[in-house]
Amino acid sequence: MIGQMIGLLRAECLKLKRTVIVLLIVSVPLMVFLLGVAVIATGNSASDWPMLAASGAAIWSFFLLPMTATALTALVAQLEHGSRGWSYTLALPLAKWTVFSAKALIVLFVMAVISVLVGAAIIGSGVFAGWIAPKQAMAGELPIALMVGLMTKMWLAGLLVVSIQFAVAIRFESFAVPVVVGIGGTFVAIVATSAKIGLYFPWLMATNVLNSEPERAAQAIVMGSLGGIALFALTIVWLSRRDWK
Amino acid sequence: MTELAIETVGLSRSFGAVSAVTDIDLQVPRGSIFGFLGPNGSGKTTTFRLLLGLIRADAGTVLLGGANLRTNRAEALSSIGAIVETPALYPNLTAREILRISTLLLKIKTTEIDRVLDIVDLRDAANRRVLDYSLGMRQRLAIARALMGDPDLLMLDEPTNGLDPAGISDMRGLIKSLPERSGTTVFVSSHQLSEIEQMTDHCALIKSGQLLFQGRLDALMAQAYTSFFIETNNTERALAMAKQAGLDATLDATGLAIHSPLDPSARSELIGAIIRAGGEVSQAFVRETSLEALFLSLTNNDERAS
Repeated sequence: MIGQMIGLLRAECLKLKRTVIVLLIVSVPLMVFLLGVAVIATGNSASDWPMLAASGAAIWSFFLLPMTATALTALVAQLEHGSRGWSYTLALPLAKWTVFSAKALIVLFVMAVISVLVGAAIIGSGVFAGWIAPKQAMAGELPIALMVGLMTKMWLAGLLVVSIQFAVAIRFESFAVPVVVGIGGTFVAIVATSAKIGLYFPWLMATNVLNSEPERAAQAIVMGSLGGIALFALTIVWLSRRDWK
Repeated sequence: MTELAIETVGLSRSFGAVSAVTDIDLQVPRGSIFGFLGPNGSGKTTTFRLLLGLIRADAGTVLLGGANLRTNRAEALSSIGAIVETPALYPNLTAREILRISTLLLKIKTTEIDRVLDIVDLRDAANRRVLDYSLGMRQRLAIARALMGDPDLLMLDEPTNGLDPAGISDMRGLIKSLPERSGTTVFVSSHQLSEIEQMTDHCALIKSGQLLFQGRLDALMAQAYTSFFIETNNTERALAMAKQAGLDATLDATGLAIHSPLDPSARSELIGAIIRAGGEVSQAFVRETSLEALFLSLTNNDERAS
């Protein structure tokens, strides 16, 4: 089973060759970096590392994480929808659940890679801004541990929204459906931020990690991660059992 | 080892109120090129998907190489290569990369890539992106992919769809060569009857989700009747005389059409009888039915088939 899964993962990586995956992985951290530099260098942000980490992580979790999940899951799913690859892959002597699990693992891995790069970009923006605008230079040590903690928690809390996007992208052949769900969810999140229900809204789980109340932040991580794992499992079981016409 | 590459018993599937496939008992002999014929919407692709486990059957059993698809899916599919409808493949990859994916999924050696590329004559184009391939090249690549691992059974759903005449001829030659080359059983669906006639040795006919015939192609052709046409000025009288003689006869645009087998002396006798009854015969000729005519006859007139 492990050998089969390794083969599936390698095959999924190969399928992504010459797609926009590299652009996606590079562009998101680059946006965070440029935004960070611009804000710090123009003096619009407080010059301390915790503040920079929080503001960068907020941009990532509130807007870029859901959008990245939308684009990434749609890309992975469209590789099969567009090439009518399901009929080939699902007729192979492989357990169907392993096929969908491999796709889910690739998505989670790429999300983790982007999270790491975004964390690095936030710190990098502070360093770079301090270099080009010494007056705005950050005091103290680089907040590596803080950043690792934030990105890990946001990745965990974001599992639910990633799993929703994954299910929609694989289920619907049209590219438009996951995009509409992703954009719609992000816009609703703007309104839901101020509502009580925002705590339970999947698109806000990652942002809630930054909540000033520690219990609420912990709740977001637990709900987002467990909900995401449960939804991934249900989606994989459901996809394995449904008809592929 | 079972003599049947594919066997289904009572295979049925409905979509809502529509019965797509009903009680299909299919028997595909090992080593044959088996044509699966039917008009568009007859249930061919649904049957394909049922055979590959892409959709679930409401009832019935599928045995592939003797292994039950429902209870032993991995073994049933372990030696099958398939193309379902026109595959688009991965346009961002080269042929070699696409076949590399198959080696990873099937856990087979990469030397298989060159072997199948040679079979479909795509080795020179193997490092080009599929995006730049013609439809014919894509179809050949899809067959190459289906041949990875040297399967015992190759299932091809409408493999000549959209190909130009040269592409169809190439595809036909390729498919015909497979059983000899590696003993592969080929199960090929088509609505192009001439293709099936030229390519296969066994066939099944499906219409509205039901099998009308299955068996050797020559057995099907033996059902083909030779019609004898008589152009006369008194068709009604001639028809009455033919029916009186116990012949299966109809009137058509040509005149009197006799569908019962008649030897030359019986034909002369019938013409003589029409003339003696005062009729004039301006023309008489024999026309053999093609598989196409037989197919139309079977699918439009099930009573005659039975």
